Amino acid sequence: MNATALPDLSPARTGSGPAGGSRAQRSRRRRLDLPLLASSAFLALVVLLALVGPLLVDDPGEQDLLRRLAPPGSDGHLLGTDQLGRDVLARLVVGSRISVIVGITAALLSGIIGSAIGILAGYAGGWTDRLLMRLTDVQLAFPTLLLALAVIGFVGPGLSTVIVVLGITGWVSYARVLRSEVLSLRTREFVESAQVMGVPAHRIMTRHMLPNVTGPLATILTLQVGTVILAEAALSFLGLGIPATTATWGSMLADGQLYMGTAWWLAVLPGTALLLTVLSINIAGDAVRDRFDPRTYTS
Amino acid sequence: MSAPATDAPSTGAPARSSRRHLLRAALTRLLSSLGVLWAAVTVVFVLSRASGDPVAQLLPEDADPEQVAQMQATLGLDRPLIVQYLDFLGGLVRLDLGESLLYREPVTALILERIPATALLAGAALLITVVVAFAAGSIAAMRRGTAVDRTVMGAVLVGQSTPAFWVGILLVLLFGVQLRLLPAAGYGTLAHLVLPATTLAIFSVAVVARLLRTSLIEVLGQDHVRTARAKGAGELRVLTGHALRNASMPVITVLGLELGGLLGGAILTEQIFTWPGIGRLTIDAISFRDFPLVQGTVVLFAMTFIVVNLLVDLSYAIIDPRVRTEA
Repeated sequence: MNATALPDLSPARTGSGPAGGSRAQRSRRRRLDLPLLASSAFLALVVLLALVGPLLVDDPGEQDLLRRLAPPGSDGHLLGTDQLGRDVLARLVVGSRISVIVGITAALLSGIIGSAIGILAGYAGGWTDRLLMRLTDVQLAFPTLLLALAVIGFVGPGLSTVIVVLGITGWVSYARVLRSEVLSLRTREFVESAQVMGVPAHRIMTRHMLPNVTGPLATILTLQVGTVILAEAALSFLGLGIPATTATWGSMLADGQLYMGTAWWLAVLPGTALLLTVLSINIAGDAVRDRFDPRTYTS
Repeated sequence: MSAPATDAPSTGAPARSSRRHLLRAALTRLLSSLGVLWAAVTVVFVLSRASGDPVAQLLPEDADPEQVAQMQATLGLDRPLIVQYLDFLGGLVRLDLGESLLYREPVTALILERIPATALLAGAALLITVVVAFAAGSIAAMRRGTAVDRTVMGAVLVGQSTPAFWVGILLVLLFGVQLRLLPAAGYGTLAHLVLPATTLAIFSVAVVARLLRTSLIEVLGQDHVRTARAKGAGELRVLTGHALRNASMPVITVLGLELGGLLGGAILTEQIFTWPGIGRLTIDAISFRDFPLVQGTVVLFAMTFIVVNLLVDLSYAIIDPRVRTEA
């Protein structure tokens, strides 16, 4: 690495104090952000397909055993067919619905649980903090996938089970990150002065803590939508998520692995759909963070 | 690595870092970990007893009540729940987790047999994660705003958005099926380890690198780093001597969390690569309703997490002297 002492790369942060202190940071106009535009457009497309797509494509369950494993570009099947002659495009479109529904609802559910627990634990401290943190330790002790498998074994697979399981198991990352943010905020002067002035605890938590953690919160929430989509795909890939009668990107991948040697598109296409969707979510999430985080660390 | 005393921001109270105090904090933490372990084990017991009647799964549907009763007696399921629970706890203490219904072998022996494979896989993946993530995160943070930074962050973003198990399938497709360079499945040699460990590392690498960069950029903007720069410290010295230590605190938290994801991911990875570890044992146990074995593997996962969490918390005290005063 070169040893030339570079000047500080962030002159704008000089004296940046607690929240709101010197928010007049870089006033540089945002350039046209191509990745953000592209990913927003793609996300809009995915949501639109999830809403109305199933009306536009062929029946995803319709089998045509004479035209099994037709490659993409085949007559009438833009993205080919699978091992039962079902149209891959139709199945991808129908699968997007599951990903969108599960991703958004489960991430919101865990966000509500997690931020309440994290802020309370960080601010209250003492035995409340210890108890809540032991609770996160217990939750953490079970990998999401393992717990989901166990619960699904009990209740049986299904859309609502998957949403609730992934929603309940996802709160820990919110709680732990927000707690540590709040822990460091708690000793800041603006919080101490609020305390001295007799502002009640619940008000400090909602008015002083919450606005100062929106950056991490938005970042985690967005990442969580992607994480949940990937987790649902993993469950369906193992055959233990949404029942196999519904086309999901995960169950399509499971088929893809079986026919990997003869029909590459069965493994490649659903994975690409997953990758592009989650990538777009993450790019959009970064943009959200940049806008709301007053500290704006971004490049 | 010993940081100069000026390293910590001045908010810290005078550090009462007496050895006795640290020891007491560690002991308190250890006791609470035992409490968590007990709670986790209880959750496992409740889940396994709630997850359907294993007898109904094991016997044909037309089995007569006598057979059912006999089966329940063999498995000890006819006893009151509290007796089963105490028996379960007692067994755990003696490392006796019962006998697998599927393999007809003691669960402990089955698990011990599979631990090395999973430990090897997870260890290799963790090593890849730490090396790649620290290198990528540091480079991006030091070259913040440059093309290097944007390239690294772009790669991180793609890595974070990729279903790791899909990459596993693609790696098999490319290196196993098409190029025939590496074995697509199996266990035993270093060549067998490459694809599964890479697969497992992909998601964690992105998370850790991204967090390290954010954390480093924040630390690099702090006064003590400014001071170090003003005193003429080179970039590498600033990084290793002043910034990385402070920036790695949130990263260690996440590394601890990532080990969880890593073990969960091991379930998928082992399934794809037919890796003979705990993950595949767990899937088998769940599919066959082999509840003593499910209990055993889940308890093992839980114990691993709790121990790692304990170590993470204890490491705070070593890395950041400010934490020592908080028990």
